[in-house]
Amino acid sequence: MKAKTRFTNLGFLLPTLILFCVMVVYPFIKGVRISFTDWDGFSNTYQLVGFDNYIKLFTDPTIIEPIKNSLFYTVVTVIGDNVIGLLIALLLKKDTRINRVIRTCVFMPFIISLVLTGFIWSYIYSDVFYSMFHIKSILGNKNTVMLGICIMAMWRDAGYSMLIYLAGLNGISDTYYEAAKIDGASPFQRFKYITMPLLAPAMTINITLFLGWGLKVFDYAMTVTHGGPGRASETFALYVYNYTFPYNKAGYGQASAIVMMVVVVIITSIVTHLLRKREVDQ
Amino acid sequence: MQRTADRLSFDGGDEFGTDAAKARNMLINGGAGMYMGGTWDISEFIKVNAGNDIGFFPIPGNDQGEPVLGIAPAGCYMITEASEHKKEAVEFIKYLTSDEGISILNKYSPFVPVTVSEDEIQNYTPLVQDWVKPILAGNFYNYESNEIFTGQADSTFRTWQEEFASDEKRDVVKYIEKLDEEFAAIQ
Repeated sequence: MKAKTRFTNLGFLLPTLILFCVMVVYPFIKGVRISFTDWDGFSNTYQLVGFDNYIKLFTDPTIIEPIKNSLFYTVVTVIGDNVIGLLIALLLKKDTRINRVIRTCVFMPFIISLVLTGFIWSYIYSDVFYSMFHIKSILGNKNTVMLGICIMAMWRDAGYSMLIYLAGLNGISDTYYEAAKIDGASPFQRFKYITMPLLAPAMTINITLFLGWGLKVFDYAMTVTHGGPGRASETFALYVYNYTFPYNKAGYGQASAIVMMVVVVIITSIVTHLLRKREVDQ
Repeated sequence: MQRTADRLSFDGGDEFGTDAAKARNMLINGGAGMYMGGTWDISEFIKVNAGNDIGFFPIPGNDQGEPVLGIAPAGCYMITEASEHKKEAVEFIKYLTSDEGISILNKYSPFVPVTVSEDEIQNYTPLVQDWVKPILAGNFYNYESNEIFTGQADSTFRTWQEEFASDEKRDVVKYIEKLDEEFAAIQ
């Protein structure tokens, strides 16, 4: 019976497992191999170059700007999405009809694709803001372009963050708040000593997710600004793309992609570990 | 470069916030008095039926300050070594470069025709005629007759130009050093 259950479970897992191996594992293994070559992405032949691609990556002066931009985007969106999402969740926690409608409106941008989000906000910055407030497009200025991209990202993703926090808030028993009220705790004290600790699992999910998304951001930079003006909005993922495709340096591009993957895994693992430590069991 | 930096000081502050499509619309709708573009814009203007309303002129391009059109070949035909039908591909390219093939391309392709006569261009939209007239008069030069950048070098140079243009300080010496550094780092 046990063996039958195991086989049944495996049977349900198998299609996804095959798809995962074909779409993720196999390309990854091949990519690691290519990262040690000078392949241009289309030739039939290439040479092994050892660790040359990795050494060049750490000595490339043009890599500084993409790293700075990716980190800026990550920090701003992780903080922004979590603060905005939590605020909205706290405001709309009560299950009333009007709150349900507002929650839906807040979440709706998340179902729009990133590319479409980029196009919509590009138009808003260049036409709507200019005609209403005479503010020139912040995407056209190298000092404000990354902020402009962060704003469109937070507009889209805050609803998702709100959803996670709402689930977390609904999981906190009211008895804690009642007991705290009886003891004379202020709303701020109830938030600090009850809500925040018991919301830690939701925060872990949100922070880790947005951290991973932020470090890998590509769509906005690619579709809205193409990394410009200059390199002002070039992210690390766009850097990898440029070398792999337009520059025909697929070997070097693969090496960059693998280093990026390792960095993302390390950072998200450390952050998740630290956040998990502060989670409180109810 | 210093001359370019001085001229760029007249910028409006968000030159990179207006893309080519919006700039063309501004010209068509009267939001802009002038637009600097290239042959790639012609088909876009014709698509929106503005080919009769937009005029073109080449800017001064020689030491005498006379208008000279900078043109370059649209591309070239190539056959890959891995092609299974090399002979057929060569025959097809011969057809494309024959009189018949060229006349079809002149009529239907988005490229500016350069092998037409004064009589033939009367059938084209005024915008295309404005482009072809300097060519027929011999007032043109091939801007790719000198070596040009390609691939990563081209992308690096264009990105560097954008950075220079978008930087309000535009320290010329610093940017020349930056360009040298970036070219040296090209893999």
